[in-house]
Amino acid sequence: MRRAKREDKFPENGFEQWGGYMNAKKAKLEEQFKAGASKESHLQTTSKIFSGISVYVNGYTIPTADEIKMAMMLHGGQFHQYYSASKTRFIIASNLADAKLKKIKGQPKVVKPQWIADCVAAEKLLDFRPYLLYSNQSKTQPKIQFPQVSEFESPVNSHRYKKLEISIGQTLTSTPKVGRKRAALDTTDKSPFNDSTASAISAEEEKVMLESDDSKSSSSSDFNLFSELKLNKKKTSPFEVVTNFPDDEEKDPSVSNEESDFEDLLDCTLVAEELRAAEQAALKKTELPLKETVTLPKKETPTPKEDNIFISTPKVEVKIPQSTAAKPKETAPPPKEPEPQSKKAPMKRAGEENFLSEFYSNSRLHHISTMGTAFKAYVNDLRRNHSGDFPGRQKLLQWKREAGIDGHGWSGGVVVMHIDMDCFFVSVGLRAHPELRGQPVAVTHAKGNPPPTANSSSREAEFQMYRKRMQNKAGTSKSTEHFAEALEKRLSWRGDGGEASSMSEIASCNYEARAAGLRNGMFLGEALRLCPNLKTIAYDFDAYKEVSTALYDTLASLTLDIEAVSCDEMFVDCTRLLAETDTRPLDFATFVRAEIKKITGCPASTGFGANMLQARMATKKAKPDGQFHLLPEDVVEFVKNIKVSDLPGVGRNVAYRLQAIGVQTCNDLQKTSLALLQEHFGAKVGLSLHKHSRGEDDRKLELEHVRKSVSAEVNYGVRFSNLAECRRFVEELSAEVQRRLEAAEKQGRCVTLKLMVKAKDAPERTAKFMGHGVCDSFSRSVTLPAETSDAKIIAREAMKLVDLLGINFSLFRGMGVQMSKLSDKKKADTGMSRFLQKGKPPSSVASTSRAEPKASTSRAEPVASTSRAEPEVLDEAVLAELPEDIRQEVLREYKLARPPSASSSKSFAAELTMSQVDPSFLEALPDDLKREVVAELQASKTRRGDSKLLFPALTSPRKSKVSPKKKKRGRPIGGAKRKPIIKVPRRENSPPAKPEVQTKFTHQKYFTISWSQVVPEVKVEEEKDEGPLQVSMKVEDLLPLIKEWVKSSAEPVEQDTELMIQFLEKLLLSGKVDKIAAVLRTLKLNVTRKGSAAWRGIFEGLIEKTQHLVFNRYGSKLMF
Amino acid sequence: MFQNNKTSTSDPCTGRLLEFFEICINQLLYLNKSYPNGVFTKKQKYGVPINSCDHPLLRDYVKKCLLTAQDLLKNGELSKLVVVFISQDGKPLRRICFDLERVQLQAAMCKDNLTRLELQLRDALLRLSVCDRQLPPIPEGCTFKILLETSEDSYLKMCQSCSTKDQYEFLWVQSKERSHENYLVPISSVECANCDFQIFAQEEKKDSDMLSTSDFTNIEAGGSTVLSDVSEEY
Repeated sequence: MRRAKREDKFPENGFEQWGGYMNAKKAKLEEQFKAGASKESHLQTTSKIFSGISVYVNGYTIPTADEIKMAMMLHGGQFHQYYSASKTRFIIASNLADAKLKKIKGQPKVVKPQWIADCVAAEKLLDFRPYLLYSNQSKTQPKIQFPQVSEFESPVNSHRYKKLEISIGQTLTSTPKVGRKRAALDTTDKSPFNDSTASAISAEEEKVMLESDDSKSSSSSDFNLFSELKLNKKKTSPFEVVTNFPDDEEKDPSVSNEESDFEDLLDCTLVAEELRAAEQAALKKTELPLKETVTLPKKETPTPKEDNIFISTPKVEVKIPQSTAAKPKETAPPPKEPEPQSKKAPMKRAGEENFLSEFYSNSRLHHISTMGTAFKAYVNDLRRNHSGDFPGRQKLLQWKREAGIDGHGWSGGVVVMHIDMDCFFVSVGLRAHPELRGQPVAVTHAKGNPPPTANSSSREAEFQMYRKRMQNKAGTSKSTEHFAEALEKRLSWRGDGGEASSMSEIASCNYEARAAGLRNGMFLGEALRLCPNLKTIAYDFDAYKEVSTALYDTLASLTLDIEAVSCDEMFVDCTRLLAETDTRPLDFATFVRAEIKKITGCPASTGFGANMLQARMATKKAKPDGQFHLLPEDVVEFVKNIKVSDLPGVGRNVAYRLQAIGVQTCNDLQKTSLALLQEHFGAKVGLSLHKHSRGEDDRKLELEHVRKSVSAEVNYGVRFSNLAECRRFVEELSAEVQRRLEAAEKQGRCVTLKLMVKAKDAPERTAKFMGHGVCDSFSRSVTLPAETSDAKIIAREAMKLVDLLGINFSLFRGMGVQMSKLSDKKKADTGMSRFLQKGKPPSSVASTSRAEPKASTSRAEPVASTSRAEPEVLDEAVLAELPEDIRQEVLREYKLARPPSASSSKSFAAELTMSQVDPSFLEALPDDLKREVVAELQASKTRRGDSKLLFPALTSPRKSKVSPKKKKRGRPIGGAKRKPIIKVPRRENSPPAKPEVQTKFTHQKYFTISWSQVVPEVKVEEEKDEGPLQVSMKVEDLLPLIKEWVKSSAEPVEQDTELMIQFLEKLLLSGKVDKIAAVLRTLKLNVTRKGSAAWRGIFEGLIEKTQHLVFNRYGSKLMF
Repeated sequence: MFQNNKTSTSDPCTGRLLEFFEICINQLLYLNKSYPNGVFTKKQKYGVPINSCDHPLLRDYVKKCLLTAQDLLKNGELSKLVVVFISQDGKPLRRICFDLERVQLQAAMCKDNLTRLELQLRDALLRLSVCDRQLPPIPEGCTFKILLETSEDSYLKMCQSCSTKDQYEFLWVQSKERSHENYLVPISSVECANCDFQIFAQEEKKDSDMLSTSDFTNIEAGGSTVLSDVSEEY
């Protein structure tokens, strides 16, 4: 009705329809805009640069909306007062709320206002992409490098397009296949440039298409923008980027859209930098190379696969992952290492399947570090299998003859040579890329992707934290400025978290790059800022290995007095060699370096000195590609100019503290008194600083390398989402440790767990993708009773340490498992370990977490079955079973146990104070035991509050014989609270009613070694299979057992009673009087019901003993 | 409440424990009617109604005791915290003992464990609130004192730092009190990760309500009454 009325009232003008008014208004505004534009154009010079561009301004911008409107008017664009999803192509905004962003769903591009200003200034339409405020793309997704190609001109390389225009265009038309493609492209091309520039542009697009086609193995010509600069006949590009699109991209239909396709494939950072660099180079070039460009592709079109390849134009293989199930929190990280042809799933997090193996196949540090140890082992092998003759020496002598060099003037004396390859990774990498020689080159993982986590605020927070921490570490020092400077240097580049802030580290860079201020270990982002034309090459681990092996072989053919340091560095004691061959050090160096260069093609530097320190300093001086002999008489002068930070053992921390006391060079250090140094740095470090500053070095070449520890550690990608993941990761690490132990033929006794835990205030997202960020480090270790290399045992112990720390696993950022106290694996199969491996691994008995609630009712007489063998004299058979060292120890202790001076309560070392210990007893102990006892006593000092004797019963002389054997062995003092207890056999007929603490046997007559987690100082542990009664059991689970016990038999069995008393004692010791009371109550009730006199008697005795114990401990009797 | 002092307690576990002690002390004072009910206000903690004393002097005393306890606890030197109720003629009648020997607060606690701890503390608090069932009422108007059991070393250490810090103007003296003629009545125990302690009362012997352990007939007689909280099945 009403509608009808309204229709009557209003004429048919479209206003009354839904949105009619707005449409009319918009139309009118557009008209007004056009009218305004034409009016303006009369007054001012105009252009058409914005033709086809429609913009909508949102919010405050510089230039303002009005200015933008004017610019659009003047340059042929459209300005929308109201946003229209279908018409508006660009939203100009300097900031856009998330809600709005979601609303527009990436349809129009959101561009910074600067774009308009720059376009006007440049008088041409620039590529908007560098100005994008937000892209459609998820931030965590890496972008793919792709040449910038579109209807827009890049702000940096626009004129180069013009240059290439003709040549490429010609090339294209001469290739029919390509021509077809171009035609196809032209039809879809919505480019507003359709005259003179069209061919250039389409050529560009062509190229892109071809390149993407190339990955699908179409045999298209792969010439590119830069082919005029370098033509390298190599098959594969060092940059093969294999990238995954995250799933949201998959769902998004806009992927098919040509424009967004290009945009997604575009990378803003490195490409931009490289284009700039290439452009500069191109400008310098004469026209000659340009001509080459014209001809080359023509020649090679039929089988063009071979030419192509220029470093900065990566081939791109776009792959959309099939399964989206396994999606890590941060989707699609940057591909870590280019692995051509490999199908790379999204990077894993620690705890996921195969994380570790993937990590180890990718981690740079892992490769480098394992190479170091690998070569140490290699040198060992060489030495072991050496035949005794050194073929290299013949060569050396021959070379000397040919060169007419003799050894005159060489007086002999100790000479240590340090040999170090010059920027190893780069020079090895350059063997494959000779075209890059003379240019700044760096080796790095990154492709220059912008960091996916570039949340600049959290990144800023992280840097702030680093800063604070370092300042804290610096502590009291006054001169913080120096330090702040240094820190600033390291952190200042971080920029806006956007472009060129890659957190990828540079593993190595050559001297050309170092000239520009680059250093190893620098982040790529900063490096690019310092040196925009930096070329990056990828790792080539096989080549490193090859070169390293060649290096070591070369030296090993001359002498075996080698200490391997790393894959490219070693110390050689040349004293003997030089004397035997009568060669002067520098001549020798010339020879060796020439040899190395001949074989490997890489330069090496050598330094000589009287000790390792001098040799190393000499090498520093010799670099690059040189040699230097630091003569003894020059040492003091030479050292003066050395910076303290270059000394071995002086890290950032020590260097900073030195700076704080005004020491920067060794000269300063020489003037500083030893006393002052020792006061600041402790006796050892102080002394070594003092000596080093004078070029003195006591270290001996470590010729026979002995492994002290084996570990596996990961601090990248550690983000556990549940405990199972954490556990699995620990297991994986342990398995890795096992592998390495086996490779080294070792087994270890000490398991150390290292944890990096996210610092309290550290941002959730680290600046480096999946890196560890700011962390606190924890490490805990536990010593096992026997050597092992079994991953299961290691994992179990490590996991216990994790539990012990009680830190939430989600905060873990790094984790490592280390085995130390290594020994050779020979004795692996002796009785002890065989026994331990069987059924009863060093079972961690009754750690508080392990409850055994069930098992109860089904076992009518759970305890009675245990028969006891308690030989007072040691069982010979048992002794024979034991490995040699333990047997010795048992015998020793057994003898020690004889004299009464090894008095009763000493087994409870924790209850003693130092003064109470008979010194003669201590003296009599073997050294290691003595140390342990003393340490134990000291540790117990703090707990000394309770000095009451817990068990008078234990003071009986019989006990004294057993007690020393219960000595805690290898208990780590402090952190971990565990101690293994050796359980010793006793004789059968000992009075059963005596409370029995800590000694307990299985009927197998074995010595068993058990683990116990001792929370209080003394906690009695029980073997799992020996009784259902556990201290940790809940009252509800205990009571049925007791009921069952009383019910089951007419008369209580002695052993059961004894067991019960032991159990009650344990409860008392672990402070559970409520449980004792509950047990006694239940007993009382059940005994009363049973009405058996025997039971009553037993019960009475039991009560009496318990009360006695309770009274001794608490000074009062228990009421129950 | 003690948790207001959180600035000084960095470790959440220590903070919770001390808060718990404070609540318990207040609750015990209320239950044993040491002070008129008027000085207590009802509050809630862990969802359990509690009574906390408003008297500033009393609060101050408790707070200072607990500050010392906190220091000792942090170093693992506090073996017991005891609240002793003393009759008007000066005889100790009841000791409520927090046996803290196995408490180790060095390791940080994870969040789950903290929650677990709170649940257990709530449990213990509830048990403490109903301990009058096991403990006979003591005469009204008893005074109380707080004892801390520690080692001599730490006592000396504490005294040495006393003179310097204002906080310790509150002086501690060595307790001479020692009584063997009492019975131990378990109240509750808390067992959560490294925080493992028990609460029990030590009750002065009274002829009427105590059992003689040697006299079996007595046990039988007393059995039915004392066993009341063990379910009949056992």
